[in-house]
Amino acid sequence: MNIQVVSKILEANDRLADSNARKLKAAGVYTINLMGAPGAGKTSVLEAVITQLKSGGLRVGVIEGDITGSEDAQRIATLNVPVVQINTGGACHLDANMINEVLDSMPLDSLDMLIIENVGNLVCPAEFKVGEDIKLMVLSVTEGDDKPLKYPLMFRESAALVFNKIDLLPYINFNMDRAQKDAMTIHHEIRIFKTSCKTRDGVEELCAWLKGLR
Amino acid sequence: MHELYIAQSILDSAVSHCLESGCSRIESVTVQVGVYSGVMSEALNFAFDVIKVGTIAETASLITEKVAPQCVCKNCAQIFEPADRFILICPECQSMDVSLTKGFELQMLCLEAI
Repeated sequence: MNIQVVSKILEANDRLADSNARKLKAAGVYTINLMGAPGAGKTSVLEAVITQLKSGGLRVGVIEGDITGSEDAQRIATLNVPVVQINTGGACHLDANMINEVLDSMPLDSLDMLIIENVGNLVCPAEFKVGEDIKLMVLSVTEGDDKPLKYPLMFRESAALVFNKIDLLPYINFNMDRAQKDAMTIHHEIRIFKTSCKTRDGVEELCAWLKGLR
Repeated sequence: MHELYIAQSILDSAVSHCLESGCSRIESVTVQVGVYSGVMSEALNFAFDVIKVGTIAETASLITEKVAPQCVCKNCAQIFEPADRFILICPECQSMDVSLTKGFELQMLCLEAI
């Protein structure tokens, strides 16, 4: 007997992601899935933008995803914004179910924006929706200018790309033109920002764009 | 990258569809795997062969159909297959403003059961 099925294999995750997205939208929360390699500076970028967004009156909450530990949540908590830490216990990405389990512990009705910092990884987080409005990725210049061509899916999926640690550019061989051109060949509409969390260069531009998303 | 988890989802879904249809043994399961799905067919087959043991799909084969990428040019409406997986340039008008319409598939199509 031939049984026709036609069903998405990751349907369970997609369904939960859609349910998270509905809950967030109903509460008026704009959600960003923040991705990048370990050490790219995701948490530092987050600290930099939260400080500025908060002073502009935007109410931001954070979900931190890490394999283990709560270092990132502790850093974010000092900024006096609601934060929840998820420990994946080994899994290399966050999935919709993990977000679903912690959403109720976030004060969604008193938030304008939720930033979900994914596990540091340039591959898997791009494959699993969690309920976000957009994906945002951070690539530090010390990772090398060849990364767009080597990890294309994440660049294809991200609405914006933040080149971070640009204060180090004078000391390394990073061809910004090449990296930018490759990223835009993979994703023509990707928005590009260049930041240094140390000198705070570019942070204002990134914040202005984030504010305009809502 | 997550072929074992995906193989388990396929197996669970196939078993429930088989039993719902009043059958008791699965002979084959056909799935579509897009080139952007991040799934390696070889690894998926390996994982499926490991987890099917002791289930009603023990002798089933997993048939994977590869789905090639397809783009539509937003500038001139040309439909084309990109020369390289992620270098998306319209061969007709050289525009890079293209949308990907095929290649992300990861779905079960049908199963043979008795």
